[in-house]
Amino acid sequence: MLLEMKAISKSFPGVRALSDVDLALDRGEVLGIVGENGAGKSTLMKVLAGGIRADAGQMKLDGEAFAPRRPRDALDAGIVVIHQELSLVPDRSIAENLYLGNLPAKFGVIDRRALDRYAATLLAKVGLKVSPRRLVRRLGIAQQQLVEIARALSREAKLIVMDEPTATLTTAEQRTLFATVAELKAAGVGIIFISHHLEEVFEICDRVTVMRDGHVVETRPTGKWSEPDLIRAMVNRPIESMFPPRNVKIGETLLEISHLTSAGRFADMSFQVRAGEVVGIGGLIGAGRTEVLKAIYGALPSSGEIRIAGRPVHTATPRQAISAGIALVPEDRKGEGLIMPFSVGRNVALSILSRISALGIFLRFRRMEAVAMNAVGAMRIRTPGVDVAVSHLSGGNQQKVVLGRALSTEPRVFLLDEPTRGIDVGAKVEIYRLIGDLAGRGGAVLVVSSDMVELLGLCDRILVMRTGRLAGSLDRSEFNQERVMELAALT
Amino acid sequence: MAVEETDKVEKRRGGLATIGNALNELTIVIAFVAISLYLALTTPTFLTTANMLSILLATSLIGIVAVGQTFVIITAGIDLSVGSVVAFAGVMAGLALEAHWSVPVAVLVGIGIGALCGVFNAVAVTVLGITPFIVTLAVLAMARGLAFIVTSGNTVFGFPEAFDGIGGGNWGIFPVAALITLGAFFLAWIVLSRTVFGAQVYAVGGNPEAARLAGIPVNRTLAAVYIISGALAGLGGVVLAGRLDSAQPIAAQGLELNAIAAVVIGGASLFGGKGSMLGTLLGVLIIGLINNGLTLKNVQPFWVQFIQGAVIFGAVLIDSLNQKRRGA
Repeated sequence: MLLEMKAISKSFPGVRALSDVDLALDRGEVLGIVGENGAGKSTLMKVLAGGIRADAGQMKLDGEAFAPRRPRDALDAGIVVIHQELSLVPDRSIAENLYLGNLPAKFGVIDRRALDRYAATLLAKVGLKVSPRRLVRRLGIAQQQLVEIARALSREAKLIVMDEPTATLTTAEQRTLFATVAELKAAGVGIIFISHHLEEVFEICDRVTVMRDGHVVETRPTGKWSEPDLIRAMVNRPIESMFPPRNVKIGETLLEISHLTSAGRFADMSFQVRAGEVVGIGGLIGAGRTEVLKAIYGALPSSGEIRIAGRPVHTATPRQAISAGIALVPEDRKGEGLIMPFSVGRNVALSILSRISALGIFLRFRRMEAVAMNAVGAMRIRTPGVDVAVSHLSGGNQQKVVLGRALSTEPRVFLLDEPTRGIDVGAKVEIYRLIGDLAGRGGAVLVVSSDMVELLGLCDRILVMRTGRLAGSLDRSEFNQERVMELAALT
Repeated sequence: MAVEETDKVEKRRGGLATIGNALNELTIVIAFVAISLYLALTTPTFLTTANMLSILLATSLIGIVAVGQTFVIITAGIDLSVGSVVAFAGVMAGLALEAHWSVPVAVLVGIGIGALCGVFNAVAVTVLGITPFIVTLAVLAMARGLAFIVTSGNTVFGFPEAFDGIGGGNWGIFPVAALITLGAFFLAWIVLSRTVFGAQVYAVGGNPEAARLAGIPVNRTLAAVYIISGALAGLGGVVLAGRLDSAQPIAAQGLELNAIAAVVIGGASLFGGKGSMLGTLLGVLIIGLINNGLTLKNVQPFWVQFIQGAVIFGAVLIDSLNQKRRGA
């Protein structure tokens, strides 16, 4: 056995985060851990990585007692955790990030050539085709994630924990990652793989452990699990279907984009979205999908024409887009969506503050509260109250707060960028239902997603982008994963 | 259910956070009471009415400027130019009086010059996208230079009584300047906590990109805070000139440090998104107490500057540690 965890327990004030958790991992084994947010997966991994200390229980690494007192101890023992939240230095190059703390040097001067050579080898292993000299700031989130994985490789880890590594990866990047995982496995590295994407768990894990409420519910070899079994074990309640039925009446063209171009980002995008329609945009990270949404929303400069219900609209700023009836739910919830120190209520009401205030100047706290309560009810946001700071909510509930704000402006066109990234199955289903409702009430919905299952399940039509251009469009009858990938990746 | 349990934890955490905030303001009050007690017990003069009123008068200038600084700091900016702007606005108001312009016009000249300096800061920060620290550092030097240029380095003096009354007069036993400061605090408190603009100031400081995508006019909000800060520094210049019955180009040197210290002691974060007028008011009073105490205890002037610096360092250190703890 590479790792044995026995009877690990941990309590925080008011809640038992882990109770009597047993876990074992062999060399060369991939163990999946699944469970809803708050099930205790992250806490367990923090115990393993020395981030927090368990109240009770023992760990053995390579047969020897292992009790890390701080993250450094775990790192020295060969345990590397790749977190959801990235830990790279944005203003340094990829190569420097890879070897931070261990830079090759001659007489105290960094040996750039050696550095670039080492880095290039590592980057090739994770399939990242960019110059090692590029600044991390200039990479997309998915690319940064690959850099993190490359860094784990450079540390010659014997146990790698991957916490939601594919949340932001496209299928191609995900394939590269899985190939890397297979190589690590062959080299005898033990891997703990935490993911909300069950199909990935089925694909690469040897065994799967389900956690719920701080307990291990069950561990089985992957072949002995079926997807419904797994979901039932995770949520302890049946989930009928992830996606809302698509039986909405599709109306007139609502959003019409002609020759939209944003220099250096994407070019000549022309497409329509009709009332009641959910249209997906698929493609690789960096294909310009996010940028198209932002350009329509006035957050990036662009040329071309945007019409809503036949009338040309001018969106030079997000403010103008909002008054034209467009709403955006951005990709990066924390960085672009929420004002973290603000309460739930203030985050929800942010876009309509002037409209619900007296004379457009003085805040009316009761109106704000009513608006917020309304959204909390409609979105089923689980929060102790609208006055709670939004930072205290789980990812799924934070995402619903962003959606609630988007809806508050009463838009007709919805631009949703990775709307379910990094949130648990239960919250995902609710967000899918909400998206179904938006279309059902005659809205035009445009969804960017790297989750293929989501695109295929949710949309009436999928537009595929490749290197800043529209590569093709698929109707529901022509949907299949290979076709989308072909359009996205062919050169 | 997992969800309900996490909610419980979150509720508890919310509770703790609230207590944490209350603790912060309580800490300020405790520090205030402790310093007062110490001075009351160790000096015979501290508790006299005359001394109390002199503290109020002496802190009124810091207070007026700190009001504007609070707006700026909440947006994660900083305005280092305020001390120089006080001097420049003061001498311009003085020159207006010397040219026999009426008192109200001279007052408006002072405030207007301050506001213009604010406009310069605002344009550089928003349109040109230069870091506030650098912009206002440059204006600190430029405004001071202008104050010397327009006066040829001389003091402007001999103002009408009506003008001097603004900075040095009394209303009953209360210094007019202190009443003006309190008025500024009250108005600013309303603006910051009860208006759409105030909410936008916090939003821009909390997360400018999220604020922009939520449709908030980020640049307009940023511009407004620098203009407010400038105009209030202009008002401060008028008050100071009135109090001294003269306007000097070297006036109010280092005032920005006192004002920033007051705002940070009052619980605002230099990282933005956090701060309040009540906190700043308490911060100003603490700075006033410390300065008064140093005088009453006959501390050498060289030490005064050192201690003021140390107080600022302490306040910023606490802010920075809080920030790290929240980030962890």
